[in-house]
Amino acid sequence: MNQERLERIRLLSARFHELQGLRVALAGAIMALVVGGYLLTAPEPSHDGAMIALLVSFVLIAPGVWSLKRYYATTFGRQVAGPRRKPWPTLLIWWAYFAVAWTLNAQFEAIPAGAPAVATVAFASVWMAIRDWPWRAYYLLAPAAVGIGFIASAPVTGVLAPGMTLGVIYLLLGASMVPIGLLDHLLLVRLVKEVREPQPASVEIGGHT
Amino acid sequence: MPTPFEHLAAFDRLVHEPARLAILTALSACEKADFVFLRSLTGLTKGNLSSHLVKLEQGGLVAIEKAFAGKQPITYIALTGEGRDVLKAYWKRFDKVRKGLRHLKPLRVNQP
Repeated sequence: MNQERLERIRLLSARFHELQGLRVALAGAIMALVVGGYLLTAPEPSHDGAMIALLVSFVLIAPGVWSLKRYYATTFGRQVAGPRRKPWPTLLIWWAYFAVAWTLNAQFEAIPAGAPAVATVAFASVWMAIRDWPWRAYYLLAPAAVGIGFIASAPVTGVLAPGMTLGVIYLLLGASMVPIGLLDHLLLVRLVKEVREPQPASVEIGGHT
Repeated sequence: MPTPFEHLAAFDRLVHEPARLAILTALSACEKADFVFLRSLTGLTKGNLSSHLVKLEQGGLVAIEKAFAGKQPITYIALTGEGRDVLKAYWKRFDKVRKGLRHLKPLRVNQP
């Protein structure tokens, strides 16, 4: 038994849900379209408007993601990653996260609502790229997109109007999620193909092959 | 201290078979997986996978559970506690063999 193949099987099994990238690609495409549409049509784009556009995109994303979940279940099978966790640690983390984000927004006017979430996504993407290096190095696209958005909106460069910062960052983040998701899906398909054991040719009784 | 060959001889044959090792490795990285998932990963036919799973279940290494997703029946397979221990022991032994083989010197045969 090839040890490399076993390592790939383990990686595939451990990251099965994360590699279902069509969901990420669809979410990113819808997010980019809705937020991009808002930026193009709004007479004076604002952070609040960008947040509302983002929430609208979430509503549109849900049915597509649900359908793709079914697609993955029927094509590659179902898997339960880990035992069901108690809900309170997750709730505690969410509460702490919102408390920090709210404090940042209240204390610093320059940080718009939604910016901490974008920064969290960027840091999480860097962590995933490092954790699965070099398999999923493309996750660096997300922090790169966020970085471009922040640099473009910085007072020094002044490329973007202040009210457009968050909208443009959401747009770039959504756009970066499309190749990330597609590459995750391709990695899943490639790994499944690689780990499959070659089947021996069928031999029929009577000497015919 | 046992030689690498003694370790090799002591390998658990239930685990050492390539298809079963692939099934156990896939299950070791999750809580449970369904039949379709194991077929996707191993590339085994339905019949082959079933027969391997029966052997693993008889050996107490996996547990098979029938469930429903709506009206669709699903067969979930999970590694038992014993299965995890056996797989861990297998890899420990495998590492010993690998290390032992690295220290082996080539046999010199005297020419007549």
